[in-house]
Amino acid sequence: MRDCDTILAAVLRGSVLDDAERSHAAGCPRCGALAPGLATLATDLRAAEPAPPAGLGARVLLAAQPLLDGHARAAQRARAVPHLDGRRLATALLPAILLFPLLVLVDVALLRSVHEWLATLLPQSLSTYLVASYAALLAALVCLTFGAIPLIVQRQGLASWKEGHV
Amino acid sequence: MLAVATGDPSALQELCGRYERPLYGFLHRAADGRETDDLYQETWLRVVRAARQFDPARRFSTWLFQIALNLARDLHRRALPEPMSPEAVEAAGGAERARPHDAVEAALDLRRLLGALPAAQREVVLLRVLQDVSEEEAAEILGCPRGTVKSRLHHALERLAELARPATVRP
Repeated sequence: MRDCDTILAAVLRGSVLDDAERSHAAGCPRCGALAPGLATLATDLRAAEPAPPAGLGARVLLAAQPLLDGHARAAQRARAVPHLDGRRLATALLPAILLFPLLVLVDVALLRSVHEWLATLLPQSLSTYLVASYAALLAALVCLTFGAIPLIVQRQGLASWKEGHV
Repeated sequence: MLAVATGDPSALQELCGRYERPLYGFLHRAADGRETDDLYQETWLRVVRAARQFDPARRFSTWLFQIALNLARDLHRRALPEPMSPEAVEAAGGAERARPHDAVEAALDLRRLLGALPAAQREVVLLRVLQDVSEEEAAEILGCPRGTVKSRLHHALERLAELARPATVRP
């Protein structure tokens, strides 16, 4: 069921009311009081519909052309910007992955010797705590370094593309 | 709209064609027939300028009419004539009714009647009645709650019916 104002708006718009709306308007005192006045305005409303002058659309297109050209250039630039190249990424990751076991071996050996040396000076639990903390820090650094490789590859690709387009 | 953002003129042409009549009619009434052509052009220029920021999740017509409404409001702010009081409308209608041929037309002059409404109510009538936009969309365009749109329409319809009444009960 639509409310009075929606029905009255339809009357003012000059829309044809459906059966439910007509029966509501017939029985509702407010609709009954306002609808006749609004119905007379509806005729005027349709007659007063302003029509756009001929050539206005063409004028708009002409005025918008420089803006559209700007958008087209920007879109072209965006399309041409290189995305992450899989081959380039693989080339960068390969030496890092090959060196990874060596890195782990060196780190483990370093941590072991530090732990042994600390154990001679400090209580066992404290030296273990210190070495474990250092090991966690090293692991985080390794993750950050390897995680940055794709970003660096992309930035390098973008930089070399910009050099070629200046 | 996405095509307009990539600089496609045919996409803009299609949009202009689709919204030409409703937008022009809306601007004509919202700006009281002043500078409608310029407002129409400026609306589309703003649409194109901001095309890349347009959120495709939003309804385009809402965005378009928001821009148009803001431009019409700016125009009103620059040179706002006072809305006519019902008495002034009556007086003008009465004076024109004295001429037999123009009587009905003058009494039912829509522009004059819309001019008698406060700006907020007139905007709701333009959107809800003349453009037939939903209550929700009108609320979004006007930047107010749905309840406000409802109440403004309620008062506007009563006022319009009241202003139209003398013309219908002529001797």
